Amino acid sequence: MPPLGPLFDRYTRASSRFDELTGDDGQLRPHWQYLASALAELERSDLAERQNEMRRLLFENGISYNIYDKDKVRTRAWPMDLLPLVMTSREWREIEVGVAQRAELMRHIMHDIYGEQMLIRHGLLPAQLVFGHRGFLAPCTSTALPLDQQLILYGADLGRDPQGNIWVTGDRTQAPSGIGYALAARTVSSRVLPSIFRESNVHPVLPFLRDVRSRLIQLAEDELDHIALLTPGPANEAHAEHAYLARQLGLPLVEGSDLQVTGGACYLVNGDQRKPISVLLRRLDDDYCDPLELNRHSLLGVPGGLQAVRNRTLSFANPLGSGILENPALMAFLPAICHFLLGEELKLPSQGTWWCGRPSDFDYVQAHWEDMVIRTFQPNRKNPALAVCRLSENAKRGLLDRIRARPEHYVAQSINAHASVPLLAGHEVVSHPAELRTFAVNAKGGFRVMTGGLARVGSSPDSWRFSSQLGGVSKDIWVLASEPQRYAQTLPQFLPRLHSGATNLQPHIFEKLLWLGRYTARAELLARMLRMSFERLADAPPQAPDALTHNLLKAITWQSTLYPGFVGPLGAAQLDDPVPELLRVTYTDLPGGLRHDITALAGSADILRDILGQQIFRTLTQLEMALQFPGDFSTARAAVDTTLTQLNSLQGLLWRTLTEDRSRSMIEVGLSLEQALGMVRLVRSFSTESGPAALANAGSLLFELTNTPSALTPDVTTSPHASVLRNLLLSDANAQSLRYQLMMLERLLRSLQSPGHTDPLASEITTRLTQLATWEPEQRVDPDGHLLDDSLVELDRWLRELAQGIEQRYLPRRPMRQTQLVEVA
Amino acid sequence: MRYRLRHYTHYNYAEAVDQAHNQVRMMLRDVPYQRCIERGIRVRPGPRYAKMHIDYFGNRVLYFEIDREHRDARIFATHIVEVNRPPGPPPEQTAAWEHVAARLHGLDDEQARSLQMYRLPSQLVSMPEGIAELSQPHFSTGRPILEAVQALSKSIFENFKFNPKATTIATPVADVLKQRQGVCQDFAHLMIAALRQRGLAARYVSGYIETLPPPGKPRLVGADASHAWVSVWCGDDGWLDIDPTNNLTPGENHITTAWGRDYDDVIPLNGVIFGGGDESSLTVRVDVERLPPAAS
Repeated sequence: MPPLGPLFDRYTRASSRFDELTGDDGQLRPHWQYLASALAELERSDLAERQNEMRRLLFENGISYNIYDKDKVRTRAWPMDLLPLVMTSREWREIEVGVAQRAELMRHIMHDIYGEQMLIRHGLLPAQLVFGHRGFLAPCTSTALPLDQQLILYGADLGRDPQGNIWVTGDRTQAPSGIGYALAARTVSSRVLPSIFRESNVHPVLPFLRDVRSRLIQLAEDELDHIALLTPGPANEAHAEHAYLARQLGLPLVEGSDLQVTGGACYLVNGDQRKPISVLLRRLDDDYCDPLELNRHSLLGVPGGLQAVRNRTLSFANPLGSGILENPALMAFLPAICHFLLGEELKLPSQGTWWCGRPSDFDYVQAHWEDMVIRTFQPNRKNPALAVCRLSENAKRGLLDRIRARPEHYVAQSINAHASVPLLAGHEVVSHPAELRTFAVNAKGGFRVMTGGLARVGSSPDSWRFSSQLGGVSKDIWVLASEPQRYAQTLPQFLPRLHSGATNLQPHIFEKLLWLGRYTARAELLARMLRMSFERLADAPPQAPDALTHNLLKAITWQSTLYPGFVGPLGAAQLDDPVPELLRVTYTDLPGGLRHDITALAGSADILRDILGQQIFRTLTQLEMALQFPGDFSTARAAVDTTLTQLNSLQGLLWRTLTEDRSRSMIEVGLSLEQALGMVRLVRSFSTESGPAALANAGSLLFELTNTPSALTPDVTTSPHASVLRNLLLSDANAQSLRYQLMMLERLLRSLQSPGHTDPLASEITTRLTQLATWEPEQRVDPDGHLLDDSLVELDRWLRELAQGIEQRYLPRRPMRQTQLVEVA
Repeated sequence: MRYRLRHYTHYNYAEAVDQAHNQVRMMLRDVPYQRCIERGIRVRPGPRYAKMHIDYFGNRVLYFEIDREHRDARIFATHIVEVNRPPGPPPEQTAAWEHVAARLHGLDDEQARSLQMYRLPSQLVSMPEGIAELSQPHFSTGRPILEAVQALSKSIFENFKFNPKATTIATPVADVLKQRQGVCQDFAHLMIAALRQRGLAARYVSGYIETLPPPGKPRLVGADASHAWVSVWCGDDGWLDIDPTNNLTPGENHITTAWGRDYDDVIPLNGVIFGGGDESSLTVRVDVERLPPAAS
């Protein structure tokens, strides 16, 4: 036996499993030889470097997934193994043929269930498994889709028994996940192991993506830009995959709130602009797609979406209702159904499955009780499969009692050992079981299967469930071509965009853009105020801070809204020892604190990966890092300095990166809005205090805070207070003044309109600017620097209303439900 | 019997609504014993788009969108309908209930198999514990099905209190069974659960009932309400209706709107609106007015 090299020293195959790497004689299988010897030549350090490179590429492509931990969503790097799973063309051929047939069969079953229901009437499918299953959606029967549109995408989970036979362990028919991860895995594995990949002649997976795209285009009747990918949103576990897949397919990523059904057809709507959407590649489960007709307990999805399908103006891929096929009990009936519907034998067997609702099945299950995995036939995340042999005696009895009470609810499946695969663990290779997932698309001339897919490796040598949620790792599957794949290298990495890149219309993106701008401006002003306070305290002699510093501290509380802070009787006590409170404002995660604003800023940017560049994300990471660990006065002072520097470079990068008008305008709207609000608040803060700290004395401080050019000429004919007000609020020369910001806002809002349309909000700003032109600071302020009227309070209120108006017009709308209860008689 | 049926719904919103999508199941379905002479529905403000379809259960569903700003929405459904329901079979001559259940259970009866969805638990009709005890006294061996069903209806009528305050739309059958009170919808669900538990097929019927004023009092216009009862499959006699709330066999005073597995399949109005604020008020008025027989 040729030595496998130190990498494989500790590789011990499980005798109870089929091993992908080695044969029964312990020798490498021939198709692994090249990869194993090539890897053996790599230095340890080289291997580690490539693993780092792999993680970096995944991170840069935004490939992560979310896990649910005690009601919280946490983002994790997507765990991928450097070693691919290698399979031969001949092995794959069997999978390909079987998966294509199974997809075809699923399509026919769906067509029958939502149509004639011959399977039920002929006794081939128990009614319980259809009408008792939550996936059966009665409203979907009235869409009467043609057979050809019944199932577009299909995903199969595959296992391998100790003899090496492939069988199907799961059918994914609603929104099969993993196509994006599979593409990402390929991109990464081919770049991290470039020469090994090249020499291995691996079948490409990109043709599959093309087939998907062609099919979507065909469904859209060649209207390329009427297609979108529908995601539940950033909280979904696979949101990063949705975004990646959308990017790879050249589709816009939309959430339900971006869409609107009008006139029985679906549109992407933003402000006064709208674009028809006729095909939605969906990553939402069936009943979340239309809150009007499907799940009435949810408001996700598109109200009226199903009606649009009925009207033939909208297609979902997969069509709504396909969840009925995600029923493990179905597997027990497939061989007969396959005969009946396709006139063929089922080519790829299913995992041994018994439906306890059939007495003979239940008898068998009881006789082979210890070898069974039990689950309900409903799709239910909270009710996972139970392996009987791993239960306590008590739990076993309890389970059996539950099954006896409602046998028709339970499905038993045999535990077949999955094949084991090599997995890189540190510097050595170990053997863990894995499940494969691959995909089929209903293309011209029948279902086509991806030549490759994902291997999902269990987290321990005896795993029997495979999921990222359970700590599993994924692998790229390399199907080796018998002939060199010459064309593989010439395929483009990305397919061209289907939609014109000039307009990002999705309101959910607008929302993030607006808040990106708002949090940037908000954080910047607060950071400036904090920096100035730190400077004044550091420079001051050790006695108590002066009155102007007091005023600055109070302004920080008003700006951050972290009450009581330095305000009121409680706050007064902090004024002479302000450092603890300043540290709190810097590091708190409460809304209004600096760290909170920075986190929120980074959060807004997170789903804007398509729009913002990689460099921006590095800056954001540094921004978050700066405030990550709370420290003392000098640490905080340095952190605030870094924050300001990074915020400046962020803004510079934003302007250099964003070439697209609407996206850029929306960030600017956020910036101007928040700067206007900040200015009004700041002026108010310094005019409500009497004494030496009043406006005139605070002038230079305020100019420095707001970045107002110091060269502004003081107007000697007016009072010094009025001069400050004029410079901060009304000046044309000061790009930070309120007036300037309002002029920006007016221009920006007008630019968001289609030609010939007017935005009522922009007109409102015009009116306000006219009023401001007649606003005479001399008559508004008394000799002590007090404001004489409520005009700034009113301005503040108006600006908040303006912000609400902008949200209503451009941001996602919130739906509500109305029903009429049956009245009593 | 000939009726004019008016069903008026008025939503008053606290804040403007800028778009509304609705599905309405207020139009009477076609049934052999009911003839619609007039069938009309008006929506204000006028919808920009409206479309009707027949759902899985054969009910008429109207979908409409209002997509301009509005502060209130009104829906007027008006029918003139003639109800001519033949009397049902004599209860004692109907099939034994176990035979009906066996037919439904059998795998060789194609018609029975097509009724399976009415035999299984549904969204709002689960099989709570104690449901078998509810029907136990009335389903003795070999008893004709309609007799048993009528006895069950009578026992619900006598042992459950009609109390609109006791339940909401979301009250599960189990709670109704425990509290022993509810409204027509609850009693219908309860009875359906009891019948399905016996292996029978039962469905939920929504509609109206003519209410007569107390003796000597004038009829109050708009004081009627929509109503719900049960239909049970009785083998060769087909589907027969029973109204457990009033303990009677629906005749010419019951007007059928829609049916399904439970209330969830026949909700009169279901909508999703954008805007509207938190406090909106709803007014519903139903009027079932008896008309003189048509001069033919």
